Amino acid sequence: MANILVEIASKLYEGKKDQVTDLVQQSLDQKLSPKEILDGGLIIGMDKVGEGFKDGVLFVPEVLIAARAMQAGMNLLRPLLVESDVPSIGKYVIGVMKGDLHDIGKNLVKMMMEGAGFETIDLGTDVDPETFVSAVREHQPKIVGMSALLTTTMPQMKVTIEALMKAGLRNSVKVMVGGAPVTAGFAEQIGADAYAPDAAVAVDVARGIVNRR
Amino acid sequence: MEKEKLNEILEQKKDKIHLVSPGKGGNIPVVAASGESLAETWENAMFGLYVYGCEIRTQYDAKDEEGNYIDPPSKDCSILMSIGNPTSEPMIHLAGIPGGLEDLEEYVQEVRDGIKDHWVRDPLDPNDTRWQYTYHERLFKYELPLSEYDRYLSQLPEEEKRKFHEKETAHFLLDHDYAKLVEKEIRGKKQTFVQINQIQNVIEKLSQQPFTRQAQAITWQPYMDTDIYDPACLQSMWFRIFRDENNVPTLNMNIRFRSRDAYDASFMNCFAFIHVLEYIGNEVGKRISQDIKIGRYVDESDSFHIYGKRIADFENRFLKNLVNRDFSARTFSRKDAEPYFEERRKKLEEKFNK
Repeated sequence: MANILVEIASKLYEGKKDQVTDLVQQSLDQKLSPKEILDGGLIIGMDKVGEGFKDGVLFVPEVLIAARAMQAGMNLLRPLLVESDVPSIGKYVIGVMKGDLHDIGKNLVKMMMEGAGFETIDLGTDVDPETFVSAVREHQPKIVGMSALLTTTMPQMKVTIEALMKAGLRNSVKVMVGGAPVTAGFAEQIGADAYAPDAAVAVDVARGIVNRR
Repeated sequence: MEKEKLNEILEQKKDKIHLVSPGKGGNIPVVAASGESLAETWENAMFGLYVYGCEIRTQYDAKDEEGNYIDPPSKDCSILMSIGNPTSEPMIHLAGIPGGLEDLEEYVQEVRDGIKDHWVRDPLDPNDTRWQYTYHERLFKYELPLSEYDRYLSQLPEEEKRKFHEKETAHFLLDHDYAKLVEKEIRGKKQTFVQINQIQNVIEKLSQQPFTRQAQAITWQPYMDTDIYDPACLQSMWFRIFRDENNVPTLNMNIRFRSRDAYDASFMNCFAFIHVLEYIGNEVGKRISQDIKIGRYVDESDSFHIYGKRIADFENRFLKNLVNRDFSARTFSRKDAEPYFEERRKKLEEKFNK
């Protein structure tokens, strides 16, 4: 791997946004392809961040600072990737359940998914089942992620899954659920496809889903 | 982490972490933690809780279908944190923020400026799942229903009602700028409430008599908080001005919580309250034409706990970092965080302008 890609990955891990931007530009100037820079620099860097988080080395704010560095690099690469028809590894629709305004966990998952190469569609907070259904119909994602922080809004996950079934979209998308009160047992009970206890695991689970399909 | 390592850290911090009363004989342990900065004190408090805390259940612990607990019990103690110089750096501890640095700015604005007061729900709408309260709303807009006494008094001529020597009803608060009447439409009927800006009252009291012991704000509303699922955790904020050796007025703050999610919320609470403290200091300073120094901040929690489901993360992340990374790597200064704060400020401004 080119040294410059190793350096991109390393600066991304440290959250050095400006340096990542400069290095991505330098890589493009050196005629590396956007796909090479993405896969060999940015995604490798974010993978290390994910590992650091899982291993307890990094704190949440550090993960988000690194994700911002990733975004800065992506701002340069995104138009070039579109131009050269390089597909993302998949679309990921994400939102917080109706009645729930807590978005810290959702934002973390979103950033980590983007870091792993997913194209995310963020529906925000207080999202009703119909909006999830419309987004799945419009964007045709591989995965829809649902987040709830409150025990009172968890049942909305089941309502939303039922709405997807009613709309005939349930078989076209995998449903992942997460959030502080959500458990693997609850996920199974409501008919979700997967559960993740934190953002780093969510990325592993999402990658597993995409690779299986 | 091995017991020897825990003891080693405890030995290093022995002047800053004290077990006031052990957790035995049915007594909940009492811990005192101190430090110069917020980050240092909070870290000491968390470590003290982990080492000396007792194991106890909470109503939020998850259970399986047969009713057996899935989550381990929480770690809990009563604690007193004493922050010597709350605005000294580093203020920010990275383990205390469950989101990003930007979220700290948003939380400060939520508590100090009330940007999320519109998220308080309509108690008469069973489908409204917004919040039951915000701290800003309780501190700056504490509401009391107007009583029959108040209604009677409001109908009397001014000279007539002045005869009442005891100002025992909310009506008389309306003589002050910090209280006003607000009308709300409830199920199509207009109702009147007295709304009290307790923080403004604190500022006025301190400006008039800096050594007053009455400058406090509370959150508890017994007429409803005794019977709701998740009542306010913060109970009171108390302020007093003392003079230092150079005769500089110094604003002290005491805060009390009934219950505190130590790992995922307490740091952010403290950070926001220091901003409220600065706001009060500035306002008092303007009124008395003298700079007010920010003094020590004492923060007491009746139940300071790490939820059972978060203990594994605490051990894997907080303790690991305590051993393997320098204090400077675990913390952030407010100045270094400023670009992140500024970015969120701009986003919030855009959102509210829309």
